[in-house]
Amino acid sequence: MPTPGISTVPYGETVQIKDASISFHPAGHILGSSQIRIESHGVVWVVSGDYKIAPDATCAEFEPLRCHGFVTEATFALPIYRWNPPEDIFAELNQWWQSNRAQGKASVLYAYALGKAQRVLSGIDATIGPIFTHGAVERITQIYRDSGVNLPQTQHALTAAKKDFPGSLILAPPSASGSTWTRRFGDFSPAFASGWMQIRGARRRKAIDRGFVLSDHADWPGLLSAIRATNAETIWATHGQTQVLVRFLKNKDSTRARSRLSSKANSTNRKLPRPMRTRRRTYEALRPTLRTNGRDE
Amino acid sequence: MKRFAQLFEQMDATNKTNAKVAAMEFYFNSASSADCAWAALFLCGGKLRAPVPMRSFRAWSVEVAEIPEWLFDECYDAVGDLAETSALLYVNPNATIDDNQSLADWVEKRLARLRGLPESEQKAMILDSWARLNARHRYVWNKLITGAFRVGVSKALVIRAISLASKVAEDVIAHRLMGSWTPSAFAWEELRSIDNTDTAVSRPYPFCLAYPLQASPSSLGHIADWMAEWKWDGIRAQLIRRNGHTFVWSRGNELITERFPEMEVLGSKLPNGTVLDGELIGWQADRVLPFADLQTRIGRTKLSKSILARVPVTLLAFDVLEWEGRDIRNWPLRKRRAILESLGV
Repeated sequence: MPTPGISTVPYGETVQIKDASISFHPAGHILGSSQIRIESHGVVWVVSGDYKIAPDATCAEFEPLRCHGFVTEATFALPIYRWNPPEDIFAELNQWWQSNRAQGKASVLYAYALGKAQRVLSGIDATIGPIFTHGAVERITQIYRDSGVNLPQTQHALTAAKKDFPGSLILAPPSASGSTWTRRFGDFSPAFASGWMQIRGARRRKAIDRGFVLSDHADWPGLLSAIRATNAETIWATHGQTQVLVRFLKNKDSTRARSRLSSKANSTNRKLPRPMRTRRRTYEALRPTLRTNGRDE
Repeated sequence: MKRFAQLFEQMDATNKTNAKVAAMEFYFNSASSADCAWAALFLCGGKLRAPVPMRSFRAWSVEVAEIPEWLFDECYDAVGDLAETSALLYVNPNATIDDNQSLADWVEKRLARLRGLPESEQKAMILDSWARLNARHRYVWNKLITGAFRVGVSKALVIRAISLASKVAEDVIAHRLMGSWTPSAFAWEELRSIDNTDTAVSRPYPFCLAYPLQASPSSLGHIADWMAEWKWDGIRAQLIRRNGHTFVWSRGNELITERFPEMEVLGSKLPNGTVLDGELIGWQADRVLPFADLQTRIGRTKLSKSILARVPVTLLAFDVLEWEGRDIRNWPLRKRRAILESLGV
């Protein structure tokens, strides 16, 4: 028990709560992010939380789990969201930084302080120049390092001199955009790393130079492949484009069910596959229950 | 297409006017004449008349995306632009990227030929074009097809970039671009030609602008040394009559003669070698119309009879800058005023 009220368990280890066996499995979203597998009386449910399929050097890879019911996130559940391989995005990031550096400008990259900033650090070419951080990013980056994630050297921007910034990369949370904090960097090129940058309008509204489509969530093909891999009968979608995802799965499933039915039309076997039931429900309601039970344990 | 898409990305990647102008200047200095001509047209907001029906464009986009129509609609709602939605949903990992064709090739051999073709041939040509382009180029190409190509620059900025690249004055470029300018390598060479005998006749004077007074009013001297008049809310303009031709220039160095046919009539009453400085305003029944009325016809390039009748425009001239072919800007204002009144317009 490192902190009162919070107990930690390794991935895959089972915790018993009354009739339920509970285990945590990598979700591939950020360091420590987990899917929660709950098994009770032979029925298995998995709650995905935020997850991604794409490789990420800062956390364990998403683990597909077979289950009866799957609660999936749906942040980017539209087919316009298809991510390019991360190595392509990092190549673009390196190029952007290098080109700014050649012009004597700082490169300010806005990225979520938890997870995204560290993923950027793990993939960027740190030999290009010095990397400075916003306090929020520096704090979490240190936690990542303490947990054994290998990340390049960074320096808190407040401890650096103004002359150090031209040509450097500065990592800051999106909330720092437009703040007085950015004034110390002189002439800089602002950019944002997020899945939302896939759409030009979202990029334009941010008043940034560049948008890098780097997401810690599953894209459309990623969501569909993850859902398929669970083999689940029931899918609940939460967060984001839930209605789109549910409608798509229902339509797809009804076509599949129909085609199965017709192919077995001559068969005497009346045992038909149980159709996949899809419905929409939020998953916040589950959280307090889990937490209370965890503490009881 | 590669170079033009790159230009688009450079301009899209900055909010700074100077950086946009610099990107255009670089393009105009390095691309072929025919490419420059088409780029200038598209950057100025020009487009080809509906190459394919939007309904068809949308249907082909749904088809190649291999998704149900309702899902395409959901995507369109999230993106807000048909060209972009179509480009994002196109999935073809086997696309052979065809970077060798220039912008002029893409426009002259494909885009310009689409209109009037049977729908099946249009579809074949569009699907073939999508298969040849990568995602970024496909987006720019779709923008050209849908006529929604916008990069947040005014025509005046494009003219400035052409002027910087060609070392020809901005007003000369503006004059040469007026009317129905048809892009071609030849048209581009004419546009950037140093020989400017064709445009000297329309050249305006720099506009004398009003600035707030920084010191106290008493610093201006005695009131009797001044002339005062109303400042009307309209469009600041110079009306030029030379060699039997009339030209109207806006403060933004735009030739706006075609938008104000009333000025052709007024100009024809002036002697050659006359330049008036004044304000274009809506005027009816001896009264100034509200600026809002004038706004209803400012942006229009095609003027209907009804709008001309509803918002007739006149020039409230307050100065004469050229008279009998002479630059009289250094003459005393009283003297210029007397000449202005003697012109009887």
